[in-house]
Amino acid sequence: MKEKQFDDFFKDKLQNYSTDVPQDMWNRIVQDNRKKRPIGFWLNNPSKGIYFLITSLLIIGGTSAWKYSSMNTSHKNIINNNSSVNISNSIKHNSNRSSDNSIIYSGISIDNKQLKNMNASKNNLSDIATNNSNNTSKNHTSNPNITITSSSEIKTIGYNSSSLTIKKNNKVNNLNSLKTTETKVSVINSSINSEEDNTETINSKQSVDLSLATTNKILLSLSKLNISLKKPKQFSCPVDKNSVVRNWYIEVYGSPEYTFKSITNQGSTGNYLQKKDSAESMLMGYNFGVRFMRNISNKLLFKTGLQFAQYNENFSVKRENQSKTTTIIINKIITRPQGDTVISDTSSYTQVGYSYTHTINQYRNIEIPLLLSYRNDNEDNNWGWSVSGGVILDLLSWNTGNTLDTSLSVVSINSKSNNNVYSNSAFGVSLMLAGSVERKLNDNWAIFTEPYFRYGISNSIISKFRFEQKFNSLGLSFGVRYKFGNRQQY
Amino acid sequence: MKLSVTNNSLINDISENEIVSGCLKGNVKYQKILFEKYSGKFMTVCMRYANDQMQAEDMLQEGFIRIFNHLNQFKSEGSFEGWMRRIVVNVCLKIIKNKRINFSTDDDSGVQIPDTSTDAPSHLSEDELLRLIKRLPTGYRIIFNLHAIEGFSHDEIGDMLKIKASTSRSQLVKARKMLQQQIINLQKIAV
Repeated sequence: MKEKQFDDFFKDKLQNYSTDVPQDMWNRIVQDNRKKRPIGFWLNNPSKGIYFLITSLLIIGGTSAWKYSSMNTSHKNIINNNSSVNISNSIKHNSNRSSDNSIIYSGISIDNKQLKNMNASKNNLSDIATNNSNNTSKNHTSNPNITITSSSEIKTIGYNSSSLTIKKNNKVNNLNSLKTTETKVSVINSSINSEEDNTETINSKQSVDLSLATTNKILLSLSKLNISLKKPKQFSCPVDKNSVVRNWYIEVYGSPEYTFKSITNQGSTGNYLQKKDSAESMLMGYNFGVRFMRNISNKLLFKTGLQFAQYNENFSVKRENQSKTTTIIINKIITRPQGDTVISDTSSYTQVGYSYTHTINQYRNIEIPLLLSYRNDNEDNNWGWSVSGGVILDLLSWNTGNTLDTSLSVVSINSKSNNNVYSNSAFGVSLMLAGSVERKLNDNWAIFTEPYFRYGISNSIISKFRFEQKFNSLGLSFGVRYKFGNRQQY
Repeated sequence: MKLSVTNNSLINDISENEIVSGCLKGNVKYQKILFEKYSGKFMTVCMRYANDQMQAEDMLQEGFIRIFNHLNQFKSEGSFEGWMRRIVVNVCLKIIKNKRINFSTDDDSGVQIPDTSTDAPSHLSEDELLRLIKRLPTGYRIIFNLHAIEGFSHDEIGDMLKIKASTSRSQLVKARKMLQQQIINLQKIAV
């Protein structure tokens, strides 16, 4: 038998052959399919949905802020720093040569959308040119021809000053032939027609002294024209010592916390506080949250975000000599020929013993951390460390559980109940000090662990039994950090 | 269409497009129809690849879950059954690949397949053929299934399993040889 025949024999026999399937297979698939449903899980669980919503809003907000910041930075960078120097130097250099002055410039491109804005702001250009024309005469025409080109790194503005036309009444009639290409070569060919009665002429052959201030004004004017000065593509140039890498980060973290409570007596009896203290003991708590970070300087970062913290407390109290009285009523019906007689026998008995109450008290907070972090982050090293410190503000607090009142009875501390046993401080503040070790996974992702200590400055809970309490905690966070991108500001 | 009972006649009456669109809407009844229509065939596929019945069932279960979850990626350009079969095969490979597979790299290109008469294996039932395939070592079994039954070329198999095409060829030769030997042994027993 040939190989092909042999293979085909198996293929023909087995390709469409059906084997018995276990009876419960469909049920297994349905159950497993439900377990593995990854999308929309929050729809069936409102509590998860809230967390998902909060996280989503924070991520969207953070991303938007980053985008907005990115747009502003690119404008500032180029106008105020690199580009202005390049342009002014170039203008100075070329202004005395001929009518075809060229301005070497980097990082200019013009979007079509911005053409409309240019019309609205066109007066600025004529203002600047007017201010800088030392030799002016009436009745002239000129054609400013600004060419902004980009060959990936260097962009040129060809400025044909021999035909510079400026309207005295600050009106520009035409602004035509604006185009951008995908290679970021942009050309503005702006011809400005003059009106005979109200124009001034610049003779191009006369030397036009375009000072540094002038060129800066031109650049400012360009910025008013809403010309987007795009950040050049990333170069692998050495970073200047004074440059600041302004990165945005987002980090998500969670932490078990060992919490201890501090009580301040505000006029309560020592016996009561002692009984209360013996009835309550702190358990492990936890927190989790999301933080956004941004560089202030290369080593210093500002962190803020939103976090949820829960402190757990074991409340158990055994009360001796508790008596419980039970009333028993026995009705007896005696049937006689004369009629039924009902006899009620009421008795009661009292049991003496102890009662035991046990609950887990939960103190929950939604908080805003405001932290400064000094970060030792070496690009060449996958490991890094940082030290952070700052304050944590309580945004929202609530609690559930029980405590003792001054008569040593058990009372609820639920925030929703109206007994006001505990009221949460309107301005709970904690100090936080943390050290962190991080390990980069790639250019954007890193995991970190962060031991921290948190000290309550203000008392977060005020009791109507004349004491106040606050929480301090030690914890160890584990989290993951994402860096949005590298941007440098000089 | 309101479905209350799924049986063979009803399954045959419903068009493939209807089943696909019903499944895409997440309708469990249509998913069940799909399952009932193809589960037998795909169970055979899984049996061919699996080491045992339990593993085959796991493969089938995972295969259908993937089919339901990725149905929106089916572009109605080719055969729907072929698309599903490919998913099931991929699941089988993934599950098998979790265990280390040993593909020996001996060059057996010169090995002669023992000659059996053309009609020799025709008396073998499908179940017997399945048993023969199951007895093959995992590496042989995978490559024989992929090439002889699924119709993949050696280059494609090489890409799928991250092995050389020559290794695939070599394994196939060995698999055929072993199968032939098993068939001869069966014939001897029968005689």
